[in-house]
Amino acid sequence: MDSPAPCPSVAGPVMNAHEGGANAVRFNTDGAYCMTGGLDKLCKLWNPHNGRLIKVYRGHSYPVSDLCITTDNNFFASAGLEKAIFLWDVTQDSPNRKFRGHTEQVNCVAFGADNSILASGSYDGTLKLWDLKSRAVAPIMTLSSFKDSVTAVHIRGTSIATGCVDGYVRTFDVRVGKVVMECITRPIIHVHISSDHNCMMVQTLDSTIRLLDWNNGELLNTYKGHTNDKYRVGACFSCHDEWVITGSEDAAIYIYDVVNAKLTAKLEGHRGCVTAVDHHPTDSALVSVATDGTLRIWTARSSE
Amino acid sequence: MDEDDVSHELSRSLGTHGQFGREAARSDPNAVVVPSDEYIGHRLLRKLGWRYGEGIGPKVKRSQATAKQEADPKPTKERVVGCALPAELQKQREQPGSAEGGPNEDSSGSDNDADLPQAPVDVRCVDVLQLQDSTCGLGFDPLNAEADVALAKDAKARMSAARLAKNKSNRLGFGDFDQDDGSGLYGDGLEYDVGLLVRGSTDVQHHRRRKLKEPSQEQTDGSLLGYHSANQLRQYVKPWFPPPVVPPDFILFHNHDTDPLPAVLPSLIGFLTPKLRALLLGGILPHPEAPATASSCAAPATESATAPAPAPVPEPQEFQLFGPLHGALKKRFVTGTVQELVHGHAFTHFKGGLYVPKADGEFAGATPLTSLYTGEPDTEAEKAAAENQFGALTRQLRFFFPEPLLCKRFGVPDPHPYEPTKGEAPDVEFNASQPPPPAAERPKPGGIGLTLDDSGSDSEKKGDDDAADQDLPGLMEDRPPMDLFDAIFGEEDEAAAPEENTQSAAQPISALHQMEAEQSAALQDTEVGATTAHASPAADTAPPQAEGLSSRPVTLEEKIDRLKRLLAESSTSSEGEGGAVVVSSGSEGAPRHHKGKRQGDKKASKKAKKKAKKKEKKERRKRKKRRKSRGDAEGAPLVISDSESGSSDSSD
Repeated sequence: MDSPAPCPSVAGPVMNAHEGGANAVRFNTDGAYCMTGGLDKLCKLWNPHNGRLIKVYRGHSYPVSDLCITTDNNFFASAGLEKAIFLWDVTQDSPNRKFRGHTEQVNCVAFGADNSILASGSYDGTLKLWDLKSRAVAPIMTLSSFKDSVTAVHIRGTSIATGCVDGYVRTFDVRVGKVVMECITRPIIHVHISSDHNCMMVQTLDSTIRLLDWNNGELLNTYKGHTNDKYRVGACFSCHDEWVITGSEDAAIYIYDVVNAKLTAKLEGHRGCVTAVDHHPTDSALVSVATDGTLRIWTARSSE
Repeated sequence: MDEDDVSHELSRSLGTHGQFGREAARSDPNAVVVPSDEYIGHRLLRKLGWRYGEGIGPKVKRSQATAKQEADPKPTKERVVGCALPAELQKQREQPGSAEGGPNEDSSGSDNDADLPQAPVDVRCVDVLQLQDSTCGLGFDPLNAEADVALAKDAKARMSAARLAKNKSNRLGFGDFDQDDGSGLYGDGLEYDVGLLVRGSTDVQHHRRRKLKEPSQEQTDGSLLGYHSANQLRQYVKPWFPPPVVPPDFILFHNHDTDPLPAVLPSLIGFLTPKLRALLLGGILPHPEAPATASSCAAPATESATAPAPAPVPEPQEFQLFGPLHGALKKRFVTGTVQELVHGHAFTHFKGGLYVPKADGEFAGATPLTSLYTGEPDTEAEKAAAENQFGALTRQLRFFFPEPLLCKRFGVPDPHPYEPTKGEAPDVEFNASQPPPPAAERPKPGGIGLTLDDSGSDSEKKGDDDAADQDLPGLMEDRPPMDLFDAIFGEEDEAAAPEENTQSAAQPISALHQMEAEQSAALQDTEVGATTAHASPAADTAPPQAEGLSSRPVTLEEKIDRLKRLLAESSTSSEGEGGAVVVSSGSEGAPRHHKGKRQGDKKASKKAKKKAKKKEKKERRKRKKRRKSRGDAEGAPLVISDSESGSSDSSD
């Protein structure tokens, strides 16, 4: 590739992760392991480099919709369609804590504030912030100014970015005490703040990803090419924010160049709608899951 | 006791509930209504043409019936209501030689009138209602048991049946001792063990005594098809197949085919009809009278038309579910949200006066539903977004009051510490320079009414900021000054414990102000002079402002001045203003050094108060001297505690 960091394009190991489809995949902080959550109500811990399954976590009674891992790799949280979020110790078999309070299925979870806050967005139109340091049953705060289901949450620093089906991106700034609302008018399914706090990627259901300037909300770039009309497909930045990687309903993974919005690579191999992707935190590698239940690793060509 | 006896007697003879009730009611003198004697069934049947004593069913030739009746006391040949005996037993019961006459058979007979079809004979009632003490089966009449005895093919059974039949009395146990084999109190019990009648075997099987026979000897094509004797079942062996051989490299995996649907995000599937979802979530419908727009909404909202998603998207059915809500009925029903719809417009907060609906039909909510739901961009933000003009136009700022704990977790100071209630204020425009307006003026936001209310963390109504500010001085003004307490208790013990200071002073009654004004000049103490002179200019300024409760925070100096005035007036005049007003000579209007602060330095004021106390004592002594000198029997509005002035008090 002609960019300094090669784009992941080589298919690596394929693992049959979940029966019936997988909904979420995450790398841990150092990229040595990845976790998947699927429709078979299991969360699985994998070593993606050699394709081995390390651990299975049983506890959900409904499919798992989203996962997130703490930065110290000790805990992870899984959100289920059973309106509860389970907090697991990575080494234990049963959940450590269960957060109940949502009245509908939980769509997304994210850790924040040095792993002391867990944010969960739900179909019931609320975002709940749970305290992990105390054993409180109730959340610290419930944000309910959403008009529809909350589908995405991402915490970076003291900002909580949320995406909602009503077409607005709401970023709650805890430090300043304000909410920044960006009107997109299309249902939002993914929100991701770049690591340099300069821009925010918003994925919407019109097969578009928009890159907005964080400070003034201007549109920096638009990425089109993938198909995304109905379902939640995953999207993420690469580790150095040079690529925008997204899944698609046509079972391929599209990698766009951030700056010039060109399609750099299209990774095919999945046999179903790609539901989640995640990029390795340091290397040029990618994991993806799809509704065919497989977990695929994509690496960059080692020669270049 | 009589009643008990009667009821006991009645219970001995079993009867129907109706009978029982009738008997009881007849004997009861207080019974107003006695149940009728007639059975309802009889009444109905009689209306249909039945007469008491007849049977029910199609008419039969009476000649046949009577003939058979005479021959056989049991009228079983006619078709009767209820169950019929099985064919075999029926045949056995029939007398040999009689015709197999069904009730409908035409017999070429005489033209006798008796041959005319007549009602069948009534059923013989089994005497169930007589209390049976015997252990025979229901309906078994030992006296007339010949036929049943004949049934039992086994000689032994016949004997025992005959024995039973011989036994005229039905009492249990009677005659049981005269058994020949004597193997049990009630006999073998074998006479009660009657197995299935199996054709081909002449004996009734007794499962206890029966020897195990080879299965081949027994035939099972008896009258009960499909049933085997229990002896045979032991030989039945289920076929057993070995488990399938699994290849060594087999990995268990189920391939689910196609259809990425399953539960990736049902919410987004439901999104396909956003109007539906708005309805489902109880949100605001932008066009209450427009069911047709749903389809128009759906079309631009989703680029792919429906179709590849077959079953899991039941929108048409769902939509029809909500059909009746539109149109006329819609206005009669209120959604479960906080927001009211008046004339189709959102009615967010109440203002007194004439209700004027908003002309443009916009909602007073924070973010109206986007073009997602309406199909067209409504607000500027949406229009800008539709044109891809993202930026200032599409961006809106709102207030956000994070909980203190949340701020602590994030490691930031609370950005709005003076905001009493935390949560969101989605309708208030955020302005970095100005503080958020008090809650009373904030419009009520419209949200989805689905959330659980967390106590205190997300309340939409906030407290009044201004009131909070005014609380403190109000409190302070209500409490009497410490000087008052000093005056009351100071003389008693000189070493009074240092009281906690309050920077509050009693709010004098307006009448007192006038008095102060009048008598401020009267205060002429040498010691006080200097301070009074100092205080008087302040005193002059104080009264015009202090009308009742002050409208602005009262400084300590002013309070002290007031106290001084009060004291002066109390000391010079005999007007009993009541102890409440009593105040020590605030002359030690030791000008407090902290000015203007409501909460001055506590330590400084304490010291000042101690000084004040001492001065006050001196003051009192001088006053007493004055009194004595003047000989005034003035009342001490100076309450109590003054031991020296006690006499003067009493004299008051």
